[in-house]
Amino acid sequence: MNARIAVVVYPGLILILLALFLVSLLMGSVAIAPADVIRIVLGFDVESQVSRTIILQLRLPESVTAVLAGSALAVSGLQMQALFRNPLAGPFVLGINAGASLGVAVVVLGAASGFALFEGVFGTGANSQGLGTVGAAIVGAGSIMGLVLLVSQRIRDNVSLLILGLMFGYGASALVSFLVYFSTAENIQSYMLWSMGSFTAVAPGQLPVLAGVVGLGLALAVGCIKSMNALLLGEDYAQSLGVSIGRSRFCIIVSTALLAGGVTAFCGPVAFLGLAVPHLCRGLLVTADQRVLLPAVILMGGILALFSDIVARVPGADETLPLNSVTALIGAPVVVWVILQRRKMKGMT
Amino acid sequence: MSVVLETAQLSIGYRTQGASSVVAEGLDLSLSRGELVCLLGANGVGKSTLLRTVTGMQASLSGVVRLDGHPLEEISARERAQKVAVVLTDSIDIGQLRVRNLVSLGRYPYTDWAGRLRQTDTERVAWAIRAVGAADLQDRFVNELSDGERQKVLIARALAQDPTFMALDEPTAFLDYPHRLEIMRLLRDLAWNENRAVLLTTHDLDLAMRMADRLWLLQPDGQLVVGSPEDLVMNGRLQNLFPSAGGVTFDVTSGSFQLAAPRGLPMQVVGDGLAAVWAGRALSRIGVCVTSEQPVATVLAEGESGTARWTVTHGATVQAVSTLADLVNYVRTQVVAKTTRRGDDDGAFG
Repeated sequence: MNARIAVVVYPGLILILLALFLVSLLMGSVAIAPADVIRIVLGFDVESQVSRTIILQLRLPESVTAVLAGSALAVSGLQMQALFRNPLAGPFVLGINAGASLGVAVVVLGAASGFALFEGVFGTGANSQGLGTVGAAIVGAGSIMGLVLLVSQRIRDNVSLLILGLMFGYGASALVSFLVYFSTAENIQSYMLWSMGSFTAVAPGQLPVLAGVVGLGLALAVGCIKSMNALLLGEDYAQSLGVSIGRSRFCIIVSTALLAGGVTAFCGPVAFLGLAVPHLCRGLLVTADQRVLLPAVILMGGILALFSDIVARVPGADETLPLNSVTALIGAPVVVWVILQRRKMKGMT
Repeated sequence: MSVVLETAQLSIGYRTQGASSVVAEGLDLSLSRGELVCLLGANGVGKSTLLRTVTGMQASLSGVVRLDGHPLEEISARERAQKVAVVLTDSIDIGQLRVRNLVSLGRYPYTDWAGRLRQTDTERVAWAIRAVGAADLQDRFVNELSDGERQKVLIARALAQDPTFMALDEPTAFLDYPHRLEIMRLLRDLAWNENRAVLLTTHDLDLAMRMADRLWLLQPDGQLVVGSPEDLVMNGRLQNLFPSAGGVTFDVTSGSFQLAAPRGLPMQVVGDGLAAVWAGRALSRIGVCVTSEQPVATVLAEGESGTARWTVTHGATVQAVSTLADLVNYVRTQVVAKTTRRGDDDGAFG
């Protein structure tokens, strides 16, 4: 089985990812020959400087953002599902994205509503292009995760914790509504656009920041991959195996806050990818081993995000769809499938 | 026998916001290689708390727990995990997890940061699966196993940790009797043949009496009584273990709890073989006192299993039945009911 994963699944996923990456670079209102696209990406000279600018300044950042965001959200989902031992856990379900939204809302909307303090800390409001939103989203996501964990120390029951995560999410959304209510139309629109999700908002200059945040989050995820396997058995068993629960929890939460918070800051709250991709990979690899799943989740996250982005751009049309609607349309059937599979499993025993 | 686990003046319980609730205190215990110890006690008396404390999963309130001579808190988590393994009552409901992978998780304290299994690890895993007799299960998914199979696999996972001390919380709960026996025999084999110390909590006094080398009896007052099962019956300690529930008494001869016999109607069973034995059991079950002294009725048992028949003689009436269900039915409706009514009238039996 391990041989099948090494020889078939991983290379297969890499090929699909590369193919979709190329497709996403080819798509757009200006037609550029595939050969030119490859030459530009690989750093060779081409005759048309316009093509070069379009690829390097517009299309490449978007595609790279999609891959980074998809991988990050998927890994974050894998981590949450392992930590909370709940197949329906994910960054969105536990309110991380709501927390990030609150952080961004405070910066984008709050600045105009007189939150001078936040303005000073995170940069300017509506036209903020700097690290303001990233920092705010990470702080927001981290706070919600911290709250969820604080409560998780007191209650051990996963279902209650999940409900509490949802409640924190609702709380954060309510605060966002307040901010929206007291904000100007201009700022609200810029917040709404952010909340629909998009891989296009990342400027080439910001890409290294996103890559750095995601890279750090992924490195942490790799670092605590062993304890994630043990955590599948529950905290008591994990502890009996020598896992330091506090330390691995901390590691996983920081990692998830970086991954989900970072991506949400740059791309908005992209729904469902984090929840759906781990299940797709479990179904594909038929394993619960997090060490085997992690690379597949990273690849599959990139694939699904690229695919959603391509669909959202509606090949052949000038319109683009809100990214969130597309990921939800792809993700929801996956969740339905997982529930049906689980029922089938139960029925077999 | 070398001592694996030792406690001195150990207090167990819970500490919440400054206040501590003591479950038991002043415990001086020891556990040696090669012995199977059953920890018995009534519900809620603190068996799991004691188990969690001596395995380092829960802090003690005071006192010392020594593992191989070293205080537990001075041993690193990894080192402790190489010596102590547990089987808990927590449910393991993980999709897509194969038995072999679950057992492999037991190698956690021995593997590198990425959890890679070396050859010694895979050999140990294979050995653990064989040792519990689960070789044919190793490619199955854990959530497809029966309760008994899952318990075996969880024991294999603990065994893969190569522990000197194994602690199991209620390993035989939810299992039927043959499987309970199988698990207990397996654990005793591991203790005796593999020279490990095995501690388990159970409610199953009968099984503990038959299999344990020693019993730890955690009394409702927090006192712990230790001894071999037979000694504890002889000196009367076992009787005090469970707070007397209505109408349940400890039978010193059989070493088990029984429903206290009410002042039953005396009846005699005549005959031999299984037909007589089970007629006696059936009558006892409905509260009849089976005796040859002044019986109000007599049951004559004849024949072998397939052809057995019973004849009830009650005063002048004689009734033959061919099943024990009919016998019970007849005795209840015709003998007991009528005799009791008459007894009420005259103040004496027939």
